[in-house]
Amino acid sequence: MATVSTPTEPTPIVTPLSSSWDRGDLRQLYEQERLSLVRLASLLVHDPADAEEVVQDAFVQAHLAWGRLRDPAKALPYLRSAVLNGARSRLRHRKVVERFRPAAAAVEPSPETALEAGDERQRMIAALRSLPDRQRECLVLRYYLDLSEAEIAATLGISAGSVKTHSHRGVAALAAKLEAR
Amino acid sequence: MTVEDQLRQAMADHTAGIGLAPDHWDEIEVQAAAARRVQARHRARRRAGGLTVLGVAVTAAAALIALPALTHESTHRVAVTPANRPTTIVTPEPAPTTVSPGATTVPGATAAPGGVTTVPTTVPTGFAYQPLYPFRSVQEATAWQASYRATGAQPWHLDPGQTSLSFTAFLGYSDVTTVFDVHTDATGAHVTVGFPNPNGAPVNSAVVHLRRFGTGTDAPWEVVGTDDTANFKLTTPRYGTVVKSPLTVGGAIMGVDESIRVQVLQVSSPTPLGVFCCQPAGNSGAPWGATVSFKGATDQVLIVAASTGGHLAAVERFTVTGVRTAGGSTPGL
Repeated sequence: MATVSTPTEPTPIVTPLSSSWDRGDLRQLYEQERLSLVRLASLLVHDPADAEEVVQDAFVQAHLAWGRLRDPAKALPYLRSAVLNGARSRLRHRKVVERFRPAAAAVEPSPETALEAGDERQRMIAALRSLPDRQRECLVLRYYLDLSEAEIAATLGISAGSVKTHSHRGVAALAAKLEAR
Repeated sequence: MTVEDQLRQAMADHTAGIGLAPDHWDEIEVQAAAARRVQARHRARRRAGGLTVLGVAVTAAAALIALPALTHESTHRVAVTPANRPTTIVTPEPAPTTVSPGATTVPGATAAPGGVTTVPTTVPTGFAYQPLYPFRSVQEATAWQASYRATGAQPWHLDPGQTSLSFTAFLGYSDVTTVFDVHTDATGAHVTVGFPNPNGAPVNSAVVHLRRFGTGTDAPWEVVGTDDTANFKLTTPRYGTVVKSPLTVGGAIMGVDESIRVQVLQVSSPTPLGVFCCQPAGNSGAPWGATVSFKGATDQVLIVAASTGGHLAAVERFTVTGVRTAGGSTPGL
């Protein structure tokens, strides 16, 4: 039986809570968190380069909003929200682009290709990516970042009850997809 | 294994293959600055409409230009080119200083940036200021003096205007290219530097304060700071204090949609030891603050420089202060 590894836990913010909290600390946060955020984004978008850009855009937003972010504890949740929103936007854009793109021009392996490869991990990731946005986001935040329902609710701007519903439906959908194969 | 466990495992395996990407912080800052400018323009348009925006821009430009002039008494205007360019323009002869060699008291507060009079722990005999540029010690100044007497090398050290422009070039302020005023008194030379504005009055960027470094009528000029102006102050860290990284920097500013950039430099390094970019600021006398990290400090004296701009030029105003490092090893200081 395979062992379950613990997902990479984001490094806690070490920046002080004092008045010295300023944009220099955003730089520090960038150094500390960009890898974990890129990894998070990579679970939501298909292209690693897209994941990088989503995170970069999130930090640009944080840069602009820094004056309003007085509480350091809210910086990382803010960045996560920005990454989720950015990833959602990318996927939406991608859907539009792919609608008008010839099939042969597709660069990324489709979920079907991943399934044919027979790789368990790819099958699971492909199934995850085929879920509706909210379900996918709830599952990633819950089972990758190990956030609580309340934290997920705060990050996504939805109620804890909705988080529970989306998570439950997401897991059920994953199970159904894997079983169907 | 449950579906949840399989999902955890798959996500952990998938992300484990993703390594640390190259640092794109500079791009982030550039994008943020551009977005901020766009936001500012949109805000201004929404607030006041097209014609009023023009009025605001004119007012801001006028304030930028007029305030430094109001805070410093002009004596004469001399156009001087940077020190590293050949020039035939006659520069004013600076008056000899009245502070006798060997004095270790701190001169009047008017000379020190921020109005502070903190005495460094190791004040070199004969020089009560922080030697910022171009010499790190009296010994270096004396060595140039001997070289000059023998060969006439680098005569620009005797010109406070050219020394000031060489200093702004060292800071990387390529827009600040003109000396508008040189005023000498018992505290040294006070050089107003800036740049011409094709659409209006010239812009005064700062008043650089210099002292003669060493003895004799051919003692070279040394930048020791900038004079405070009402519209841009750097008051933290205090002049002459011992600092370490990260350094908290702050002061007050008057202006519209300012973006303050802070650098930490030392004379022996061609590039800054640390840069912070950028802190949005504005309003009348509004406080500003930033934290800048730096590394590689080997000199005993560091230069902390703050600049703002973006309306007419990248650097429109700047202010500097001198601080000291605990572990610095400047020879002879």
